[in-house]
Amino acid sequence: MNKILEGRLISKSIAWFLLLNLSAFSFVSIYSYFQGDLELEPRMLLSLIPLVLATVIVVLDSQILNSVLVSSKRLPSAPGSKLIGYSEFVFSKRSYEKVFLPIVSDMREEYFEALSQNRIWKARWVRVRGTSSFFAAMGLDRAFAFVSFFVKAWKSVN
Amino acid sequence: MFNSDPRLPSSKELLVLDMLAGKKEMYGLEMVNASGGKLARGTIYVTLMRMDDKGYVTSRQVKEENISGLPKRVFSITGLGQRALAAARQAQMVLHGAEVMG
Repeated sequence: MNKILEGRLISKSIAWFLLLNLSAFSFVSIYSYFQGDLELEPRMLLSLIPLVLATVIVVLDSQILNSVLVSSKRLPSAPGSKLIGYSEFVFSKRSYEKVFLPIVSDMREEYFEALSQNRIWKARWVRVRGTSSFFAAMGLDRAFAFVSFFVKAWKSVN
Repeated sequence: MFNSDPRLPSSKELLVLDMLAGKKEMYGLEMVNASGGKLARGTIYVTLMRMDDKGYVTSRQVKEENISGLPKRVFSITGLGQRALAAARQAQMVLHGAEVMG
């Protein structure tokens, strides 16, 4: 694991070094060009190509290292964890406890049941369906809250 | 926070009341699976919350250990819910009788 992190750190450092180099080179070239100290020649632009290519390769390499070696070792969170945090923060306690928490609870139940049967695609489908159910419930809850607010306002006025 | 203006329950609410009348307690996913596609996962809990507001159902959180790691909410029918269900059934029978007679 340490070797992976070291490799990632080195490749990221090289990427940043090359990117900074490229930025500095570009900045000095543009500045000099506008000051009239530099006459732009096609030969100079050609010299940039290996630098750009090297930067792209190292950046891509660090991304691949990150996704393949590091992310796969990270513990995945249970489905709906972010949705729970979001709904707890945004909605009332009543809506959170009576609508959103049970939806995520049901989604997790179906998700883990599918995983225990080794049905990966069903688990993925359950996750997508659960998330869409969450947003459907959110829309419906807001719509009812909106309507009840206006009904109460109307009754209080009349 | 019971409804002061009692009306007959909607078709979805009737379906939920019908299911709850037959069992002691049920939770949302159980109702969705038992409804045969008539109830949706995205709308069931909003419907149940509105029915709770109207006093047709009551709910409690079950904190027993389950696979999801989250507490479950189980629903049961109230006396008002049973009366609303009986009234809706009577209304349906009257309408059905009128259709047969007419």
